[in-house]
Amino acid sequence: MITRILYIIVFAVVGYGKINIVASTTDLADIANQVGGKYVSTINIARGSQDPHYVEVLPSFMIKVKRADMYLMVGMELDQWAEQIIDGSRNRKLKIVDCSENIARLEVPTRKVDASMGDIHPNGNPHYWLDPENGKAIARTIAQHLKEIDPNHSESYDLNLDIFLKSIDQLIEQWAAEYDDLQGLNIIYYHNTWPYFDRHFGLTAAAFIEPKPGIMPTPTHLDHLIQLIKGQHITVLAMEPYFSPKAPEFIREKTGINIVKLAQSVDAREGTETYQKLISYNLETLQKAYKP
Amino acid sequence: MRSRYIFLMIFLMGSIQAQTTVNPDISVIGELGLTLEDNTSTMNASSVELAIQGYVNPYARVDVYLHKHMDEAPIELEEAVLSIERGLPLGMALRAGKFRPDFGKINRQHLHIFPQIVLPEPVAEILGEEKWSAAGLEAKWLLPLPWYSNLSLAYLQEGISNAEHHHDAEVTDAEEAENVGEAFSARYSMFFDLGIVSHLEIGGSYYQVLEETEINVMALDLKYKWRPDKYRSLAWQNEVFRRNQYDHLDEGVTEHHPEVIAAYSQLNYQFRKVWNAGAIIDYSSHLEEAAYHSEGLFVGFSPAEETTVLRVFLKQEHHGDEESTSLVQAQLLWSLGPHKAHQF
Repeated sequence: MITRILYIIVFAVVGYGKINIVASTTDLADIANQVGGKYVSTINIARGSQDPHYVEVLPSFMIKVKRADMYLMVGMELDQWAEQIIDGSRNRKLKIVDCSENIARLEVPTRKVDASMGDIHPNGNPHYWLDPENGKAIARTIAQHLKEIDPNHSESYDLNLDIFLKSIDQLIEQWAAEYDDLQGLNIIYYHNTWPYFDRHFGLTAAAFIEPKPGIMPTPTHLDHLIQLIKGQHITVLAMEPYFSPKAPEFIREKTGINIVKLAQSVDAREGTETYQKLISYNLETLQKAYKP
Repeated sequence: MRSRYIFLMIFLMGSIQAQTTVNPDISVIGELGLTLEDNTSTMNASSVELAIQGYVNPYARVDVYLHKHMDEAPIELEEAVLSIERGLPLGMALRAGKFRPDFGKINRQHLHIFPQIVLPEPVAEILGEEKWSAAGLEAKWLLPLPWYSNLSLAYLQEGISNAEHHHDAEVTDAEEAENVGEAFSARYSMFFDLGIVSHLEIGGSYYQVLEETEINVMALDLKYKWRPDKYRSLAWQNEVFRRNQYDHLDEGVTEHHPEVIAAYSQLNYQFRKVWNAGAIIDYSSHLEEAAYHSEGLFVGFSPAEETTVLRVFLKQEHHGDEESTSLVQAQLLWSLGPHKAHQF
């Protein structure tokens, strides 16, 4: 307990004067860190290895948010649990930023949504950060709000934003050249996490292990997938690290398909410590699986 | 009393309609129960819970829970509460309306999250079969400490009632219940992260009736949870209550009812995405004038992210000198619509 108190005191002294940011996910925390630089201190709620749809509302999260100046939400109903954490923090000065506010949304339902469609998001697919263009939009949103609450360091935020945007633009060119062979690749995904990533890099989701979002696969559905893989000669099955490998392993036994674990968030896998590395890791992993 | 609650609910619903341009979250949780006791099976305990939840303005939210058993009894208003959680000073939050006070751990948990289907008998004896819910005001403070530390103080119009659910529309809880007047309750709780995936919550509560018949209840609760990944978790929840009642009779004579100690310990292990199993033991020093304890095992199956749950509970009860009895209960639970996530 004494160590804990000392740690908190040291943390408070070191972090004094900085803008304290709490982010729902590691992706938003990393982008905020890059944009905020030395003037911000960031922490995340969901761990990178955790499914961001299901995060238990822990009272200790409320204490983290109680001390924060800004909360970064993914929005689009992905991190609905954040509202309870924010309420429980009773933080009067907290600025809540919905990072999806400048995103062009994909898969927005055009008809009434109900549970027969699985765990569908009524405001569209919320995994938008996996498109690097959207990473830039997130960075712009964060910079704009940082400048509002800390105008004294606006120049620094603008400079950091510029560096971040240029680094992404350079990588987009580099990725396009290095991973051009992935264009048109058909992939079986576990969950529908990747439409923004697919759109940017020219990939196609052939089918999903989940028959509908959040619904576990049935034997009939697995049999359908096996027939599809054999019929279309699909070679890659990609899954998030937190899903059970049981159904993918069963499919591999029947078809010989390559299973890869992609990182849906920063820190989900080793080598994904930053937003830029996250995108690179996923492309590299797919390329290795495609050309083993 | 019931009509006042219904009026309050209509008023709150009207406020929601008037102040927001979007609908609140509306969800329904239904339950179908089957009990097998003494070689006789009965379809019972079937009910639905309607929850209407949402923010009424940037600072406050309203939660309304209505409960209807599948019998002749009228709709029961479980909760209709306005919570101001943002914007108050000193880490303060307020709740006003009819609600489950922050007393002990189990009192604020809704029945549909109990893996053992029903409330433990010793707890029902202390908190009432439907647990404690009353109209009043509650203030909560998040204390300025490095760890989560919360103090709740509540004043309620009614204390804990011993009313049981009646299946007959003609009999109301109020007519059958021992009349319990105004009450005060307090709870202090702390929460600790014992690592990234292990957490501990401990709490102490006190309840006092503010009238001639003096009733006080003290409670201690402890919950530990380990959740290493999406598919596995181990939760251990414990609670102990001590209840004293003093009847202040004429001429300064005080009658002290036998002190009641009640407790339970519950272990719930989720070992796959859709499966959980566990055990519960409970004890009462004085349940219906005799000591009582029981042991139970339960298993649960949730094929679709808790929207459909099948549970089975096996229990053996020992009551005083009576012969031990065995009980098997099964429950099918379904949930429709968005329901606020349950806290730790």
